[in-house]
Amino acid sequence: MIRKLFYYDIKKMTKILKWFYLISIAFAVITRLINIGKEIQAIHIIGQVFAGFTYSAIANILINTFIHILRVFLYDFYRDESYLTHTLPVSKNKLFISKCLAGLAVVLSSVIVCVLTLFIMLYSKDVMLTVKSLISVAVSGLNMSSGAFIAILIVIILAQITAMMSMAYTAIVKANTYNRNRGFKGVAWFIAYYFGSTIVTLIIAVIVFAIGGNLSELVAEVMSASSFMTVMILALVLYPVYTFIHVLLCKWLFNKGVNVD
Amino acid sequence: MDILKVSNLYKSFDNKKVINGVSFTVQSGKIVGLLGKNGSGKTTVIKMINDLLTIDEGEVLINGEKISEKTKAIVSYLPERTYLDSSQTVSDCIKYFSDFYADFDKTKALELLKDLGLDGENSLSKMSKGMKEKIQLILVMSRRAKLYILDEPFGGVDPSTRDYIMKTILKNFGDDSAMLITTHLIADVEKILDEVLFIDNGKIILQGSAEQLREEKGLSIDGIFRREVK
Amino acid sequence: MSFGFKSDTPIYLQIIEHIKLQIITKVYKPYDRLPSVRELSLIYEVNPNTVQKALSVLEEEGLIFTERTNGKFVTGDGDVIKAVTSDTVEVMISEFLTSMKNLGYETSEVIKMIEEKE
Repeated sequence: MIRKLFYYDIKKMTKILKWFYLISIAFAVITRLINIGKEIQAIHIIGQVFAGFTYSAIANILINTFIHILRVFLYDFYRDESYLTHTLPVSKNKLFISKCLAGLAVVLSSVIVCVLTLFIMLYSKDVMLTVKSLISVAVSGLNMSSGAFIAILIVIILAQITAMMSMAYTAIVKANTYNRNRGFKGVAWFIAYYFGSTIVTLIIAVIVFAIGGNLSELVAEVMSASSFMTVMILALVLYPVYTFIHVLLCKWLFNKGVNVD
Repeated sequence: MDILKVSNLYKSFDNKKVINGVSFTVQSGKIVGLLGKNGSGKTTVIKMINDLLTIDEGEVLINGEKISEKTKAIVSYLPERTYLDSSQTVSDCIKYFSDFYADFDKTKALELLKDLGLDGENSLSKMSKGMKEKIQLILVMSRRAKLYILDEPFGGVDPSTRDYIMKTILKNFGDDSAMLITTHLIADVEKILDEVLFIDNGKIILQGSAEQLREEKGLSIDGIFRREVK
Repeated sequence: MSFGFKSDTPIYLQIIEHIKLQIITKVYKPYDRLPSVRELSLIYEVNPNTVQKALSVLEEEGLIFTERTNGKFVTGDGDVIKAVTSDTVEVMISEFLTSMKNLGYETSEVIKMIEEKE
């Protein structure tokens, strides 16, 4: 049953997104093709315009990824469609897990499409060299390869997005335990969860740096390599912890039952 | 055999009691009418039976079991809302129902849709609200469920649609299933009811066999309702 | 089919009357197969259980009989049909006379009026 649920969740979440994916990649290809002739001034300008389109297509994907994942969650569980969802012969647990997995899969695919778009538009030996040199500056002193550094960065970004999604899901479920002003309360709870976890992060960072005896580094303009490493490790540990806590809280609230309007 | 047993149900919203100790049963083979004015609590009761509202107090047993994915597999529910995604086609809806409901009779659904002049390619977005409601009724009645729950199936429909809905219900209601229908349009429905429950202010104020009530009171169910519920 | 039920009488009794009338007027002839319960419930737009109840009363009265697999049939016994006919006629006459009485006409006057009309 969970496979069927997952299939339909993905289908609903990507109903519009898949066209944005297509548009984004199409713009990247067009920009690339135009730039073949960028020696000519006029064509160069057109190329710049299309590059602009491509960047907005990427921004569009990122924003719409959030909107559509949350919209499907909200509509399937609390709006008109919920009359069908909650009367399916499927446990609440499975309904919930499917929405989480589908959300995660869509976030992943959006990130991949965005990276792919950039790659199509910009890839060249020169660009790669520039990127490499930039990274090597950042990596110097970290004692790790550029590849590992990029991998860790991507994991951190994904972990951060996932944590935010879990907070948004929890805020929606929490807001719908009230009978009034559900939209407003949803936003309020999301802000509360987000700032709550930010404050916890800060406190933990202060404690960790205080123990290490280099508290001043935390506010310094340029961080030492070892401090930078500590921050990355903190992010790698804390974001999954926040995600885990919110998913548990959300699941617990959801399993108590819904009150659909 | 009690296919549905509702005992002592209570529900409040913001400290306002809307359901005040509702109890009743629905037996296999019977069509039961939950009759009440708008705002009497009928839809709230129906939503509690269908897991769309939490239960403050009391119990709902379906086929002797608490509400779960198992009981949902034998209940076919038609809400007042249109819950079908408008971007779907008719065959998307049919596929969805066959995917999730083991008791869904696809052939029957296709036949009923054909009677309406619809085939799989028709998109819901191009249909009127009334047509979508008919499709929803067809999907619900094409399941071989043990318990059908229809919430206000005749609300706001024209006479020919009323006849269509009535015929679809009577044609597809199996002998071994039961049905719970809510309505405030009692005169339209009373002929098909075995038993009636009058609900007012979140309480059942009268219940019994429709034929017996007619005989005892010398009035139609509609007439009795008008007298009892002010 | 729109079937005008009276609201104050149990529906099954009205169905019984209606089927009887159709047998008397030979809409359903002896040995004719009656529509199935479901068909009748659609014709009258009533609950199948109500139809079932009406049919079992008719069966008790001997007006119809069940052949196990084929359904219900009108009796071939002319005496039973005759008896039902005269019962029905009697009921109709007494109903008629009652309403005439309510209008202030005695039975003898009514008979006279009918004869004059002829």
